[in-house]
Amino acid sequence: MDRVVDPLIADLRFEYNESQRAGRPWQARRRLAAGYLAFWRTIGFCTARAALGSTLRRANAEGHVMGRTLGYAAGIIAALVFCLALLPFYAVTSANRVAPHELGKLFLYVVPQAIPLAIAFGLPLGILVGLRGRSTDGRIRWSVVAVCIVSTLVAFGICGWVLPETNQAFRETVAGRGRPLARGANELTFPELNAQLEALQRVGRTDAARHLVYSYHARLAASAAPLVWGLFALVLASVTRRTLLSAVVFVLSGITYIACATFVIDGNGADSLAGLPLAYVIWLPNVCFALMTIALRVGASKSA
Amino acid sequence: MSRAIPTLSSKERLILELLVEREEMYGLQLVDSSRRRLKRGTVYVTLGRMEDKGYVTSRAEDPPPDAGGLPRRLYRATPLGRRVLEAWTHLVRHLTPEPAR
Repeated sequence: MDRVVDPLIADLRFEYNESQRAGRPWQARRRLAAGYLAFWRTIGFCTARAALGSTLRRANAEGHVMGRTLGYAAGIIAALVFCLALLPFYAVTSANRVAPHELGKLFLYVVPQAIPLAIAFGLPLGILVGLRGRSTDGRIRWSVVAVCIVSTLVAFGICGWVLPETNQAFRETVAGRGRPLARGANELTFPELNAQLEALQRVGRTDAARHLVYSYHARLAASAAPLVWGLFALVLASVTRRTLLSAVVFVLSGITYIACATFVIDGNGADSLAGLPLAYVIWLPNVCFALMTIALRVGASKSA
Repeated sequence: MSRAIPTLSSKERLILELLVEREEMYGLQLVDSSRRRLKRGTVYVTLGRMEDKGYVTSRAEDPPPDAGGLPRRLYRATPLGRRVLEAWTHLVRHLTPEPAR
């Protein structure tokens, strides 16, 4: 960087001194300001170039493991989003009379529903396929963890703010009455849900707050799923290093997870697991898989 | 030694043209001579890249006895840089369609 920055500073200083010597203070000040701008632009270019170079070198050294993992994950997520959005779209449009010019808009409204679930399952599958047969060093593992955290944040944003708006727009379009419908629990953003929950709890109406608690925690748990599942896949890939075995374990785990979630969604779970608050029951599948991940990790480090 | 065919961006070409014309120039002199086609914030990065490619070479100016601070740097085109510019100009001249008569 010195080779680029030093000549710039020398030239700018020369230019500034020349203006001062010629008795042109305003020109000197203008040149100083332009010089600062040029200096920071040069620093920015150098940093970006160095970062890009080191990223490419690292990617080459690691055999493009991260690129492959991200590529597979993106592909699987895109396919899952399409499939998961198509099912409710088809179900609703075949049961209701919807104007043909609104079909495209309706499909777009369904997409945010599919994204959190698609990320939760597509990301871990991408990790499993991307890391197949590779020994992963600390840098790759931390990069995967970072991707899982970012995915969780994206899912959190969608579940908390985008989904309520698109759900409401979808309902209003299907109802087609041209006037706004009252929002249900799933059509409220996280801050709105919180405010309603607090208001109901303040007047002691905890039973009426039940469906709000359910919507709040179910969406939060779904947002956390990419992190829980991503870490599970990462540990699984490092333990088995056999793609088929990992995939079978993952699919079986996925079925178990969905069964647990359905048990909770039906409401039976909340009633059957008497004594546990509803929020705890909703988080149970995530907690179970987090514990399984820890157990796998501890087992792997013991056997190593 | 890399066997890749040397490439020349439009900015690199402009810098080489100016250096071939004037022999030796400072970075900011190149910016002034380019009629705003080169920018102060990017010219040194481009010159650094061209030095890596072997198109230009530089030397620190002998500082005047009363001056302090960093010496200014003068850039000049290398024989490889001149050859690449010549080949590039030749190629462009041959590939550009002639205007209709």
